[in-house]
Amino acid sequence: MDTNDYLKKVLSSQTLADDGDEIQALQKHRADVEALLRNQFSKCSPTIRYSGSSVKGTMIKESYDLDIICYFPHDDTAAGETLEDIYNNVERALKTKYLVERKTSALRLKTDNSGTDAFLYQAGSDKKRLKTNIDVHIAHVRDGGLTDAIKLVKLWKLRNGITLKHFVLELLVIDLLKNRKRSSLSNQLEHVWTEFRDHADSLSVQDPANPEGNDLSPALDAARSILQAVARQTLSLIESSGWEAVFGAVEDKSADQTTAALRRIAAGVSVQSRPWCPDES
Amino acid sequence: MKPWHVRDPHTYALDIAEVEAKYPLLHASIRNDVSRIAGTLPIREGTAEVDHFLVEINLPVGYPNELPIVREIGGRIPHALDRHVIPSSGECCVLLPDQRWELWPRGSSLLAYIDGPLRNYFLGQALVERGDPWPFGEWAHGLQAKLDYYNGLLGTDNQQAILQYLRALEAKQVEGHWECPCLSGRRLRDCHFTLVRDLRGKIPQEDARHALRRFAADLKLLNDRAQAK
Repeated sequence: MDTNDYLKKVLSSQTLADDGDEIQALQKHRADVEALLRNQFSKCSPTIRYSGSSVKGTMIKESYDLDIICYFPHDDTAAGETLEDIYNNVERALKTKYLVERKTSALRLKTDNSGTDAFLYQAGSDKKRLKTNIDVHIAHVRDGGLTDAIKLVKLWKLRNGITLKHFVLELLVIDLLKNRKRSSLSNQLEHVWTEFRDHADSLSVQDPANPEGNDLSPALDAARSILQAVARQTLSLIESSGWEAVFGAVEDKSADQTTAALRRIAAGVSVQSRPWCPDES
Repeated sequence: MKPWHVRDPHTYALDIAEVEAKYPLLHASIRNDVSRIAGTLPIREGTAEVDHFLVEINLPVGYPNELPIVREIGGRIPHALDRHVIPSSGECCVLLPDQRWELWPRGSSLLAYIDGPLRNYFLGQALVERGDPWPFGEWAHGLQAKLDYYNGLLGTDNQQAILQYLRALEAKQVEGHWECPCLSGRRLRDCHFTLVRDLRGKIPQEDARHALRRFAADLKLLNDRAQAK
């Protein structure tokens, strides 16, 4: 199997079937969250849409989540007077059923009059109000002709524990590969990692929906050194051990074979240990 | 207190290099004074990877006296006490801290922790996910686990007796004329002297001190709750 066939197999192993258990569970969660929001904010009729990797075509099995955008009408204050109020009210509503973690701008809020432009409330940031356009983001990634490379770089990021927003990584890959769309997948990936290794300090990204107003450099700055170190090691691993050292083997093992192998490993463990949990009540 | 990578940069560098050499998809980084090792932890049979988990291992400021803080970051394991993950924080409860001296003695490397209790934990998670029981069993939650553990170790689950035993284990020395920690009223030399002496030879005083502090705090919490009711 040549490298590009191998990479296609990796991609295939990371694809979630439309009728699979994972997608069905995701759709059920989606419906539950949407119903909760509609119920809690019935007075202001929010518009609820889906975003993230599922609509961009970059979802991978290794790790996926649910991105829901909840737009609140500009001229209605039933959800809150200010962006911060809305952010907090949505958090409160979701907390009735879920454990909620406050993210910098996890709750997308309040439309203006320009169609799909929206303002995000940025918790914990000096600049609380940020203009962006989700449709522009989605189209930029989905229609860029690089979703396979993006998925593999995303998988690489996850497998190597790199902390960097997927969105920023997607923009980086699109920018670095804008003149290499016809290259093979392996060439594309090696080019991205070579750029990370050799030019980590000068990498830059722009929000396609707000190039001047949304400064993404802090997110990238925090990851430059780890991107560089992991890219260096990845290129070296490919040279010394081949691509399987990066993405693993893609042999088709049955669930029974895997379980049997796990049981054999357990049977050979000499120092056994048991998990515990403190009392949280 | 300064973090471990500042207090002992030489050992830190050696330990991290050892981990990264064996697990090339685990990478260390330092942010805000916290050392973080993150990436893929494979479960291997020989050299073949059978399964893997995406993990994050944070070394707290008190490491290596304190245990690493581990989270599964691939979203694969539910945050539930029954899966031995603390729901509010996502922390994995890899081992019973009182059992550390047996499983990952002080002075052991980070790699020994990853290859030992941590590998066992994720091996167990992989099997439980497939419908198997925990391969080496599981502890009950909270204080009950400690009572079960000390019952196996000391032959009693009496809370006051366990406290007395832990005091005897953390003491600089014990005397034969002391009252036996088992609460029999007899002298130690006429009762459980051999057990105490043997355990003192195995459990470092530092571990006994930590265990005593945690156990006393658990009992206080229990009493406070009982009084509140």
